[in-house]
Amino acid sequence: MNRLFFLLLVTCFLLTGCVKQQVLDKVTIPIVCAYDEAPNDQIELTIAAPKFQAGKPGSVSTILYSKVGHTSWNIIELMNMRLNRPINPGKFSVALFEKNLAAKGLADVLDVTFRDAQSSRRKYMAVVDGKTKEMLQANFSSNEEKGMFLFNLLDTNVRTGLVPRQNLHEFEYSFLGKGMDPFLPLLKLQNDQVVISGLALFKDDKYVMSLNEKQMRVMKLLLQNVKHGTLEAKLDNGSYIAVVNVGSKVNYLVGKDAKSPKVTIYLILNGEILDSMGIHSPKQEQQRIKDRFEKDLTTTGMDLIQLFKKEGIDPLGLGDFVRSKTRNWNEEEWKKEYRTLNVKLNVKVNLTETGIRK
Amino acid sequence: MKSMEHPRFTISPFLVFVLILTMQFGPEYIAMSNKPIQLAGTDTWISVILCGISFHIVIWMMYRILNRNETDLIHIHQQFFGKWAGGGLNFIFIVYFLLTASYQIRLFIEIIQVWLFPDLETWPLALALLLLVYYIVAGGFRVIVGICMFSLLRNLTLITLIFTADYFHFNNLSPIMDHSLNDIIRASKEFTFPYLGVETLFFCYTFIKTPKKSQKWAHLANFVMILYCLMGIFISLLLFKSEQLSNEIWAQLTKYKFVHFPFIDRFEFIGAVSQILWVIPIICFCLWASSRMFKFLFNVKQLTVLPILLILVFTAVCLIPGRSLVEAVQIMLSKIGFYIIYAYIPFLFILDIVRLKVRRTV
Repeated sequence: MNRLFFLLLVTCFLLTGCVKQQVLDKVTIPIVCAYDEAPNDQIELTIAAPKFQAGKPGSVSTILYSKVGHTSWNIIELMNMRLNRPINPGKFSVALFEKNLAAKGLADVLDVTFRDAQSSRRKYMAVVDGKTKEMLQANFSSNEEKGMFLFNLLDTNVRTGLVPRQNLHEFEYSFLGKGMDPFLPLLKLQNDQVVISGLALFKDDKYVMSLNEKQMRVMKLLLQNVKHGTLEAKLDNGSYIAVVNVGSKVNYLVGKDAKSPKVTIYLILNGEILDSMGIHSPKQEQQRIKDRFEKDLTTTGMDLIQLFKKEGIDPLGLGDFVRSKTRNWNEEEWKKEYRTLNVKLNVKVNLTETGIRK
Repeated sequence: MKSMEHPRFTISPFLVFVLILTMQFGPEYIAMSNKPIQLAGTDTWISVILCGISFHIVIWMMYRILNRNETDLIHIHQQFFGKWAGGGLNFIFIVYFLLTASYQIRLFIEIIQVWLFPDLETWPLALALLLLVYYIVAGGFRVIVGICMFSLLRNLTLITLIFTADYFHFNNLSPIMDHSLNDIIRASKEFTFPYLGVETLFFCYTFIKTPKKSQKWAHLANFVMILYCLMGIFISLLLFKSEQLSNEIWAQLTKYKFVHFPFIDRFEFIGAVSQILWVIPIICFCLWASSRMFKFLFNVKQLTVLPILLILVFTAVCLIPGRSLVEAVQIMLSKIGFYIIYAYIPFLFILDIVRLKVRRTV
């Protein structure tokens, strides 16, 4: 009896062939998808499907498919009718959104990715200045697959550059969380090259305004502790100097003055002078360079905060920070307070090394 | 009355730790953080500890009842309430265990259907799992404990949650005690379901070699369970805003979405499949306990009644079509479990004391 059951159990392994099969050679695995605005509240979805050529390892071409529709899954179904290998949406790693679509709000478009068990939460997203379809049509990646190129572009700049990290999860986190607003990197097509040109700021899920790349760098320093990236400043005598960030620390402190909270941000930046054009012995000039950088960072930072307060957006998450330090925090009250909030920025720059020369 | 099993069938007291831990730490934990965090927000970890402490008290009560009578609940029922009423109570427990087993299998199949194979039918997987369960349960109690031991492998998947640390927001833990006591207690009520499983002690008591020595192991199991729950809740709090969690069904599996290895891009699929390690021991124990109760109720052999129970569970599993009914069964089970833990066991405890007092005076 027991032996019979064991036999039955073993035969169950044969059942594994009964589910839907997905053979790697018989599906299309696109890496980048792009959303454009289309008339009548529709979206235009563009997918860059990689095409591998038999016999030529290493060479891959991308074919674009785009279609207008109401829901992305219906669009994918319609695209499948033009493809010899059906699309499998499991490997989407980069999602691009047109600026105009982002201005209408991304929550509805993103719902599908949160609902799908196959979609990744570490997916990078970016807002594109202009039509995303046109950007994908441009030949910006030479031999590389376009999706992988865009993924690596964003990934390396987030890891080793001064682009603040914002993936699908973090976007949702700051969009749904109270007292904070999301942001995304802004991409632009310049002379057939894709460039990260700044940051796109959102109010809830709607695109509001953008920052340039200099503001973006300061923003990253204000958001988290960073150990990479380069900053540049102009000295009074007209020469420029570049400092490599070898470790910055940012601290938020909440103090109370007369009922309304007061936020002070302390930023300590340890830098190493690597490029001192025109200054031959930066050692003596150090104090001046330091002051210059401190002033530069403070003004850019304060300008940023003023801008956020004026627009009523909170990409730094000041509201969330104040919430974590106050009891019975109320979002409505905070929104009223935010416009007149007292924020101070204290920047301290330490120049530790000057490269291998004096 | 003393009714102990043959030493050949008994287990060492320390194995109670493994058994109780696997019974408590069921697959319910993958969804446990959603509701309480809506209620108590940053203070949910206090609720976890409160609920855990209440379970310590319940375990102490259970050992008091069991040590005094030195037999398992099946016989205690018959001693306390007579043959018919005691049999009826045993029958309620049979239904409870069968329902738990069906729920666990259905939950696992649902996870597989949602995360991996949407086109998979319910019955083939249920059939395969139940055949496996028959094979294990037919081996006897010691084999079930062995499977519990084996299922501790699941800790490997929990260790990978370290890799989510990159996304932690420590702001989410403060301010402490921002919620009213009422909210915290309501949230800790939500935790009874993940903590359930200690009631299994009532049925395996006679299978422990020196049962009185096993109490500390049961307490230790519950203590470790508190740590597991705290870990789950802390990671949920650090990773997500409560508004995000209100949209999720299985927050624990979503956490695996952050884990990424050079050789495994998507760990969540392994996380989803590994739920079998949580599910199988519990199903096995439920079927073993209910078939054992049948044995005493109707004087049949355990192995003859087991296939009938398996067919019952199989039909029940096939009759639960989707999310809404799984959820309904879960709510029902958590209610039954809540009353067993916080009403029935204290009631038995008091009844036991009263019986002792009455007997002494007589």
